[in-house]
Amino acid sequence: MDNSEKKPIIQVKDVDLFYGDFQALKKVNFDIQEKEITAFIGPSGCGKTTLLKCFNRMIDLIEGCKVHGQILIDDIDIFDTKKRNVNRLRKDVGMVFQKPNAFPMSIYDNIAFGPRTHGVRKKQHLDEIVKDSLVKAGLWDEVKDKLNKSGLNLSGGQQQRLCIARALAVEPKIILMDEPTSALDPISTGIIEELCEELKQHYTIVIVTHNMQQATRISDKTAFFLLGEMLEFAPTEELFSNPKNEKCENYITGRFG
Amino acid sequence: MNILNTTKIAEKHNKKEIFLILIFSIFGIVLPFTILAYLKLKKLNKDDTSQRLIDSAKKKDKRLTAAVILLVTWISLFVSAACALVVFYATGWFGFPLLIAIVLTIIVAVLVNSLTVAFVFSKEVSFKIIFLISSVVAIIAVFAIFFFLIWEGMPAIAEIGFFRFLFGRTWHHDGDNPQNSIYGVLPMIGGTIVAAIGALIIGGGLGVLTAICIVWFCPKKIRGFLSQTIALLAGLPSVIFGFFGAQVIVPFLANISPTGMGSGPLAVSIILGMMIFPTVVSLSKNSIEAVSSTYYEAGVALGAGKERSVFRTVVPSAKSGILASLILGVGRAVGETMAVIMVAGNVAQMPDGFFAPFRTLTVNIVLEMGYAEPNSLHLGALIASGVVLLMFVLIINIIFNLVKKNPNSNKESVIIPAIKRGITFPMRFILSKISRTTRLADDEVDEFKQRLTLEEKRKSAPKINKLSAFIVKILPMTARVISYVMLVSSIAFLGGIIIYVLTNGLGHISWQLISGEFSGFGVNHPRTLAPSIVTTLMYVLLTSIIAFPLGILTAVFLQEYTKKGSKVAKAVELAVETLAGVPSIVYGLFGMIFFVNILGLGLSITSGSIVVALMILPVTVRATQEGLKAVPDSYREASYSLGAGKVRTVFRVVIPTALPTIVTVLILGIGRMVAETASLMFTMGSTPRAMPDGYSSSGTTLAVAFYAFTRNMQFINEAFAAASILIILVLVLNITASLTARFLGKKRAAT
Repeated sequence: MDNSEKKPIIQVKDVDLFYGDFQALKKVNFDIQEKEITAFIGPSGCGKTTLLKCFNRMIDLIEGCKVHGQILIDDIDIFDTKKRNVNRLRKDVGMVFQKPNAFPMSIYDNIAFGPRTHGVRKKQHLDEIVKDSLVKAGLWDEVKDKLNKSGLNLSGGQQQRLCIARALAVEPKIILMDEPTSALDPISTGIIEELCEELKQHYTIVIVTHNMQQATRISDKTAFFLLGEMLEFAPTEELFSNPKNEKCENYITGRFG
Repeated sequence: MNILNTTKIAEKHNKKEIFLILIFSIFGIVLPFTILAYLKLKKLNKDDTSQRLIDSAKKKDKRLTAAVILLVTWISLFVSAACALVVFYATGWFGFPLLIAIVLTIIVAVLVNSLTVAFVFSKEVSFKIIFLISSVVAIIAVFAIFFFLIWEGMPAIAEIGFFRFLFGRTWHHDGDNPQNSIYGVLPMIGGTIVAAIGALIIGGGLGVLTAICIVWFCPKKIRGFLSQTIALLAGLPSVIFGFFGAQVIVPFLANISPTGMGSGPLAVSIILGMMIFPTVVSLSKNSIEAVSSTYYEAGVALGAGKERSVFRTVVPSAKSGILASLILGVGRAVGETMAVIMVAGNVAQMPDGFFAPFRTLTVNIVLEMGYAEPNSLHLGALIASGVVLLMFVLIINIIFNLVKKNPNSNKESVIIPAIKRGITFPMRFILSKISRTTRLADDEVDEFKQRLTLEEKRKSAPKINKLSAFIVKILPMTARVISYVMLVSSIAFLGGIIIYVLTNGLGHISWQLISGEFSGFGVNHPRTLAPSIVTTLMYVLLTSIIAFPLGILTAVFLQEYTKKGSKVAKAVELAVETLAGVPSIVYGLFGMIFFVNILGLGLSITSGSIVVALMILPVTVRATQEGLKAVPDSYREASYSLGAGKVRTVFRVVIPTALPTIVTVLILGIGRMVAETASLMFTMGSTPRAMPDGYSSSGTTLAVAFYAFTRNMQFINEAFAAASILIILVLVLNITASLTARFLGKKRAAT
């Protein structure tokens, strides 16, 4: 599948990653295109979340973790601390976590936290950002009357959308989602999946999921990981209908997990 | 011997009534429990209808047996009480034997009743009763402390006049012409407030920043070491802090003071600040650690730096815990006695400037108690200042409870939003147009493109001048650096105390000092600590025997036998919390009134031990409870699923798992006993004397003896030596505690 008009936004080049002596990623190579949804699948412990956390260098928080190779975002090596400020990188590459982790603050302050961090101070601008982000995350109608209530009073699905809104508020280019629906009920999951489809218009999304149906439902491309290696990367339909790798086939047909 | 006996017989008639009241109160305690147990039994039998149908005859049999046994218990109790009565009338002995008799009677009664119930129904119920009874001790103690203090203090307040006592600006005691004495506690109230605020500013700020630094900025490797060191310093006796203050801080401050006097509010604030520092650190640390790391991660993922994420997401989430730690610190500062007395200057006047000598409520009590005549207005007024102090602490305690967040709910505590509203409401009222609207316009938003980008918005942010921009830029980094500096300097300060005392004292520890025979009070007689060492050992033994079983049983009752929020649990927890907040000097007053005078135990090791046991009780309960809480519920579930009952689960699964914590608690408790001073001065004695010849003789522990040495500059070397022994003892106990915990933990992991 040739996609000449789209350019790769993330380029992963020969990435090896070690937790102490344990090698979690082995020579991973591939490109992620702009404004697409890319899904990472594979059994637990295969390294997909680890790779995701590399993209915004959340991996730095883990002690004793070493990365070799290059990850280019917008053609700049993100591990090159001279060219790339890590906080600016994280502004450009947003993240939604497995469990909703709204701050114990009001809904307004939850969303305004990011813009304030990056220097937005005008009340009018903050209001605008809060509203825009909530609208984009499809949460506006549900919370517009209780913006000063604690974010923790929302339901799990709403909290997760609040987290998405919070990530959108700093105008990222890429949104990383680490099993964003694994802690949610099917209805909330459906809402979030629809949301991903809409967000695709403006953002590049990388999603880690354990749910194969979810990957087929929402993603454009899928990468299959096993024991730290990326064994197959292809457009989703192709990968699920006609997997080239035998292990990948076994996994998606449920023969091992 | 003869003389002693006759004096005791002479006192007999005065105490006859008290004795009778006691006997009746014992039966008063036993009777309700007996009835309760029987009723419960009956009800349980009734509830179990199906079983009843099957073997109702058998059940009836059992109930009959139970009734007979209870009857026998009653008769035997009555007989034993009668025997005791006869013995006491014949010998005229009161004091210690009487207490033993009372305790034994209660234990026997409780055991017999519980066993009866156990025989008839089950061991579950009988153990529940034992746990319940131990827990009730805390409630009784709280009531007794409040009752006796107010009982003894109120007449004096009434005589002086409520307002003249509370708001009187002069405290003047005239020993020769008592009618010329004026007792107004306002200067002391002012002094207490000033000392507490000073301590809060120094110790509170240091403590919170240090806690943040330990949890978030320190290298992980030294984190454990640092928290252990700080916990260790919490165990240092307050007399040592005071001694260091008097020897080092006050002379130093005298150099910079305009009046040439070093003692006063500044010196007190520094010393108290360092004393509350460990409390603030450990509590804030716990609440900061309890904040889910996902908040931090979310902050970092949004591009906030480490400092901003910590100070803007983690710290605000822990604010109620941090506030609670500060309030608890203030409570400590208000109740502290021995350290303040050595650096405050002790003139009964309103604190006036940083270097003006002043008094706190606690200091006032200790200073004048020594020469207060029995039954005088002076004594009453001193006890009444104890009541004022108790009220102070009670209010702080209530605020603490309001602020403390219930860890099991998402809701904020009541007080923080209330405070917030209190502060912001007037401002909002004035600036209502400018303030943040929480309702945003609900117009259509579909063309995001027209909006400014974040970068443009950032640039259009209101301009701030260069200086503030610079400050904003370096603020996070500064906060980090400051928190580091705080950590290092406070540990250096506390380490300095230890090193200073040890370097000056170790050389003066002599054979005479440790084992010499007591030869007299005079200044020419060489001092000896031998009686104090023996006294300390005896007192630690008795206090442990009383406090630890009660504390552990209460903790088990609270954690395993009550549901969260049940009324009994709430009452017991409130009592434990209140006991924890009561200053040691108030325990001393209570002990003096109740155990020394009313029960007639006199100034004795027994009185001191019981009083300190009550003091140690809340600490033991809480720490043990923490240990029990840490036992995963899955262990309990596993045990129940195998058919084990509650008692078996508690004793075979829960307590063994929590054992490392419990052992640590016990050792740290002993450390606290060794460090205790203020309450012992009123209940056990304050002047070093000869070897104790039993639990009914008066004595001084090491800490009290050390304080007595410091009162006379001639024995400064002995004081340093005694301080060194105390510090070594406390350090050894603390280190043993942490090593034991580690060893037991490892052993458990290995098996």
